[in-house]
Amino acid sequence: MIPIAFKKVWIENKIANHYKTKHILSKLGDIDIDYFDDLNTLIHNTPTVFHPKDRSKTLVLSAIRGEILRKCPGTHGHLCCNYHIINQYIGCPIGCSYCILQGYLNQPFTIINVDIESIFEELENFQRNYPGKQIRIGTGELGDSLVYDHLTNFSEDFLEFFAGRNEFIFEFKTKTTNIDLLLKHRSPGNIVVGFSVNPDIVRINEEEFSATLKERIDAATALVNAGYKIALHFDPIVSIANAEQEYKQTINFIFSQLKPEDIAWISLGTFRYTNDLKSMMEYNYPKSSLLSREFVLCSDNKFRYFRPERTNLYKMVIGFLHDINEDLPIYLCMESPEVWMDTLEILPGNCSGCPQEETMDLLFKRRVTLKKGTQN
Amino acid sequence: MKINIVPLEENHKLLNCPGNVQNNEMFSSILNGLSFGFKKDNRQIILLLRNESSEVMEVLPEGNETVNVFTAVNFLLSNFVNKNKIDIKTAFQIIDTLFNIESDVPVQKTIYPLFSLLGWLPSKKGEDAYKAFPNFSDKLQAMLQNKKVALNDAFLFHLHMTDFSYNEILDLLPENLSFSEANLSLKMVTEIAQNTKSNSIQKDTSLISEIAKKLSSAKDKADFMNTLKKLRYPKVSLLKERFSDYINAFKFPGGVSVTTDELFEKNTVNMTISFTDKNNLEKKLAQISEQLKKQNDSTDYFCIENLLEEK
Ligand code: SF4
Repeated sequence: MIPIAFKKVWIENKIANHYKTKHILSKLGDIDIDYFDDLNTLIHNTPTVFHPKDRSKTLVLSAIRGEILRKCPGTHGHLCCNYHIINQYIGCPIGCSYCILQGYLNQPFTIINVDIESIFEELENFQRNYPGKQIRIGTGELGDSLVYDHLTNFSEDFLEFFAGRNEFIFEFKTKTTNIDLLLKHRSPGNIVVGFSVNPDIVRINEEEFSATLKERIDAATALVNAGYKIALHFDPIVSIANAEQEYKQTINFIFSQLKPEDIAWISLGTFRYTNDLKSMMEYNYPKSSLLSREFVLCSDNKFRYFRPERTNLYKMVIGFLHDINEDLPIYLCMESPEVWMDTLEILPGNCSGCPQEETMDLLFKRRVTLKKGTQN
Repeated sequence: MKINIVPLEENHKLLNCPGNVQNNEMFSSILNGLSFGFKKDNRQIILLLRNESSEVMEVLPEGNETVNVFTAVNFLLSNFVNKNKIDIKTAFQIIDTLFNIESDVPVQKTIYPLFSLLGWLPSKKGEDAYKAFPNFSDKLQAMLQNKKVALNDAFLFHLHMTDFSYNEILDLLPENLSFSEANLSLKMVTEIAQNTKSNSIQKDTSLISEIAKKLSSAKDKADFMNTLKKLRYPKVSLLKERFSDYINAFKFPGGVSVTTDELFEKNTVNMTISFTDKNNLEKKLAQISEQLKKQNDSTDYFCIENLLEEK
């Protein structure tokens, strides 16, 4: 049960009368409300908080600022999958011990950017400037894409906007089962719902308020029936006792309900952290033992499992996935070319001579448009 | 609680004012009498941390002014106190005193901003450290007192190792460890304990003794740090050792060095050859080639994948 109980709402004056602001407030009921003009001043005047639980007590409704459609920054020396992100939600109440947001969010509250029309304007500009260019976009970078959907109804807005705009593939990334609004509609065809998946033991120890694996896969199954494609994110893959057995069971369970052709893509990424995240994890989640394994500092200043351990974890998961189906579209998230070669034995850019990023996009596009029953 | 701050006049008596004493002493007297008092550059200051106090203070440049106690303490600490001179126990006692003052304003706004002036951890982390501090072992408190370790590291060490009788390990830390080495040691011990714990059903007490046993044979500080690193990073240490043994088995001529990515993230190995002229280079290349042939039977660890695959 996710603790979504905001105690206070701050509203940026310029969007005070926005229809979404009113809609969200109507869902929140009786709540302490205040107004502000400048987000930075508000941040400055509000005591710092460290724990995601504390960050989730106060909601800020504001207008989106800065670059709206951004390319996922990727990291030095590691291959990038050319994903684009929109920061609609900033902050998340699910409470994963490994959540990278702890390391870089400095605001002591959760932000929802209500002016969805600014996002759509930006996307239309993109279409005009780069006609026909394929991109994948998601909102799940600085928060869960669906955890507040019952407050915002954004999913319905996105479905409506993306219908017929086939150069975009839009992904909702979630660890929840908050899919009721999605299920009210058939997928327009270019919508993917991504579920992060891990053995339940990882969820129990490290993801305080996320849905169980069974709940997530039940939700995914319902979405498939409504025409949506599913992405699976084995991220973070964690080195745990009985890893082989745990991951095998997890993968077999997932594919006891989903078919390979339901899957748009599968990303794999082993647990990694920055120094900032480490110090926040040590403080916020002292019971987590994730940090105690053997890590090395990589060229992007992130710590990862030592290469042989990482490679073994990837090989193990890829092996179980290949046992299900050799053609599942698997990619590694933020990994070095060496580890791609050690595990998948390809580099994306080498498949057809075109740049790495475009190869990835074409691969994903083919998967999303794959018709039921056409997977070998 | 509000405190009046007024210019000091002749007839005002300085309570508990130790004059030009070290800050540490000054604060001891504050805590007994719940008042601050000291002299600096001919300015005398007293702050009474008492409800009934309307006693006197000097100093705020603005003169006649009412401020709350937290603002006054903030002013005193930021203008007159060198935080490096406040020992940890005194800082704790000041925070303790402040926490006991009733106030309608949340601690985040009253006390947290003072933490950093006392060399304490700012924000909620500081409050948690404050609550945990009395439970730190005497040994850990003494290390903090003597500025051997940082509060943050001591706090996290205590937080993670509460279930263990961790003094056994603290007793083994070499006296001459630098500040950063001591902090690093606490971190590594915590991580070793957590890792071992999550991998086994071992009882907590025996786990600490086992780590202690391995560390106790260290000859000196370097050996201690090395042993600790091997315990914390066993696979990395093993492969580094294996690689360097492999390289050393070749008797390459002088001026030849072989390096690889320190953590074996890359597959390339680099060889640097220093030479003086063509003849010299030819000679060295021949020697290198001869050495390589001699080792033909052993596994090729220049191929990093072989190195990593080896169990
Ligand atoms: S669901 Fe994602 S954003 Fe939310 S806490 Fe977990 S890792 Fe962070």
